[in-house]
Amino acid sequence: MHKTQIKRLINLRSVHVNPNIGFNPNIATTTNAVANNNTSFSTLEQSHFAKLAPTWWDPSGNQRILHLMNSKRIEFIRATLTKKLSESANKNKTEDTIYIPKFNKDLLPNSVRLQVDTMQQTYLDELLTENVKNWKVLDMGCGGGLLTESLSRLSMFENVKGYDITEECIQVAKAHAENDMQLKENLADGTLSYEIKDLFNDPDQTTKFNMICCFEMLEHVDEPFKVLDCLKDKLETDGVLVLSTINKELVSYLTTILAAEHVLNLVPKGTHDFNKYINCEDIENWGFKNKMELIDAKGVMFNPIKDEWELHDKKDVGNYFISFRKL
Amino acid sequence: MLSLIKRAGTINTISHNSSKKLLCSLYSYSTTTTSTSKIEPLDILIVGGGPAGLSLLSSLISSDKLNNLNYKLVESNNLENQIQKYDDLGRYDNRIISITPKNLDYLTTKINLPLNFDKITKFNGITIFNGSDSSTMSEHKPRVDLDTESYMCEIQNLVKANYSFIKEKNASAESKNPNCLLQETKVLNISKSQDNYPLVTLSNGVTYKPKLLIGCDGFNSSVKKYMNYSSIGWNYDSFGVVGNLKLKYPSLGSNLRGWQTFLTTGPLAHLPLEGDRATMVWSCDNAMSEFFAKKLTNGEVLASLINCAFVLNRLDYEYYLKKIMKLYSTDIVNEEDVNKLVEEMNTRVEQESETLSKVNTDNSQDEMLYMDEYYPPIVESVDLTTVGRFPLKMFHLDNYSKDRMVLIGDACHNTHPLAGQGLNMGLEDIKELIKQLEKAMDLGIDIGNNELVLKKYFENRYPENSVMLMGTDFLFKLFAIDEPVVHKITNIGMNFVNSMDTLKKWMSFRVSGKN
Repeated sequence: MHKTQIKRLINLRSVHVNPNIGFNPNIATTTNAVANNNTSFSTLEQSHFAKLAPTWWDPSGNQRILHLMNSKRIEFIRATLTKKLSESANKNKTEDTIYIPKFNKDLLPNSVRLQVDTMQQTYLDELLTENVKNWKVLDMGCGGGLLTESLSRLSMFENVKGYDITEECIQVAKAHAENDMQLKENLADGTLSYEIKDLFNDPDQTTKFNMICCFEMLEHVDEPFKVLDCLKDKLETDGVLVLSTINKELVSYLTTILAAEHVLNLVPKGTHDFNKYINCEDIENWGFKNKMELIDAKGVMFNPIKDEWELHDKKDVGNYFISFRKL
Repeated sequence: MLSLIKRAGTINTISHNSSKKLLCSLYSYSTTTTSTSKIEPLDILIVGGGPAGLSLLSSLISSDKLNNLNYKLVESNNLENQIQKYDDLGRYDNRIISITPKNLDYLTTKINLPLNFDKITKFNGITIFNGSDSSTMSEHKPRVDLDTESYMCEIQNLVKANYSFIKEKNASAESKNPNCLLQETKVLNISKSQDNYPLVTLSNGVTYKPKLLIGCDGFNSSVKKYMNYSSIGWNYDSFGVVGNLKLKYPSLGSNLRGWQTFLTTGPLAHLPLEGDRATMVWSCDNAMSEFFAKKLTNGEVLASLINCAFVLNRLDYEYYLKKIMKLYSTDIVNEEDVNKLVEEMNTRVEQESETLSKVNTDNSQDEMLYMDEYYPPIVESVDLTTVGRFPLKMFHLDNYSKDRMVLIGDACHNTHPLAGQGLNMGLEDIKELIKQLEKAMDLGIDIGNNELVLKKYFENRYPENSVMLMGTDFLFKLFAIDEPVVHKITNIGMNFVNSMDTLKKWMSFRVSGKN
């Protein structure tokens, strides 16, 4: 598959509205031929995502729901990092062990409350940016680079890498980043990079990361826990692993497969396979066994009225985000 | 230069037919223009340095999350000269707007604008009369008293405060964009680059390639024209006449009110300023507005007419209006006749005031205070040098945002000034847009992304603005109907509304954001 060909396909897409125009059946067959049995990603799934690749960057098209979810992913990552950092910051400081009586901010006059809020927010933001500026971040299973681009645009981390096994996705991701002024610079100076990588057959065992994100990928692989082990090996001590997948229960089936794929057509058909869903409990158990400390776990659901994803506390229902710290 | 604008204009309009061939011609056009000048990448380009554009720039500068961006504002006038003229004026400027408490709060606490508070007047409520009723009974006129707090502020006061704020911030050492104000610069052409960024060619020869182009350039916005969205709107076929009033007695105490009467030609508003000063906005038809703004030579005539409009009943007021216009219709105006008529009007107002006080009160103490409490202060004269007129229209664009382009303020909505919401809607737009942009920065979303950022701003503002525009339009049209039946209904309606405290509270909350 040639880069230019893909680029041409993308250009075509920006003119036409038909979502299937970018799909070239040849892409799928070539990928099938190349893929072998021992990869982290099943052949069937690979061809599905190769098909999807050209439609990835159409925020009004059938990946719209994923674009909307992306904001919540970053929100969760920020919340997780702030939680982790403020906990460790409070442990080390002696003055913070002194008890300060809590006060109700609502009793303050409006303008003072506004000031307190902004001061609090700037403190947390500074804490975050100070601590993560030397971080190397990996987005595993980056697909078209939705999350990778957002992470890179935050300009908080030293560098951001996107790995994916599907060649077409990486090409789409690179081509899309080339079209953005800021990301083009990031690509040029190496703070943003994409690589085609198969986690199970990776010769490079020395590159370590401070944070690894793996969103909406575990439900597409055959051996999720092997993937998690591999990711853990790539993590520095005290590094953060942020995951998301779907619980194996009725609500998940109804929302992600029946409603999203078959009734509302929010997601392309065949995206999800119920048998590959993993319960939050199982991931927590894996973390417990593998010396990973749980930082936060949150359920996430789509609210069609607000047209937005929402985080909630029922982590055992539907989609969920979960984050660990490597001890 | 003019031909260039014309050429750009025609090409833009053709290309919206979205024929592929013409789109190609647009591309080739844009490459030919850009090859001669250099292209500078930018994060945000604001077009238009009116009160909305400058407030937006100040908001960007004072936002911790957005001030690291690379932004510029283009303005065709020289602001320095404009402000100098305002400073030399020595009196109130005639372009005065009302700012709601929540918006003033935003300007002073969030942005910290150095507004001149000596020239900002707070009033605690507004009284609305029904002046379209022609009944001749001297009773309590149908009215609605709304306890809506508001602040009267000159547009130039806001512009000056913004300008000095921006200049001060630019001069400071940590300023990221020391030259963010481009004055005396015009937008010559807007086109699109191959990678879907807007290309804005300016009269100083530079072509900017911003991630986000914000149009704040008012009704004739160039960005709006480029976006080419459909809109609803109509001209009211009438003009707003503004002018500064001198009151007979300075208003005492802190309990200032605004007054508005709905005449069949349109509402007349009488709004307080400091001391014995006040300002008016009178919407009237073409002939009347031309008469007030151009023909009138005596400020006392207009002053007496305003008093008549508030105090007398409709038939009497219209009689005097016609008589004055007739006096001035001849080439040589007989000053003696005019003075006589003014005197007659003043005595008539005094007589009517006396009867009104007597009929509506039952003891002499209340009788003395009645007119002060329930009617606007008597106007002595109008400063004719400040009288000017502007056409009134209602206009609302169907969409404010496109990929990498967004409109705020008068560029996407115009309203009748009777509710004093024009600039307030613009300030609300600014707050919402800043909120969405800050959110986008936090979440690592491209600030020019329509679907995830700009459309959210549009979706949050459009319903609010629609309600405000339609409500204002409805009120204007309702009182413009010259049918006795309708007058009776509006009378009953106004008395009903005035007796409903909860409804009034809700209405003033909607308008001012404060109970």
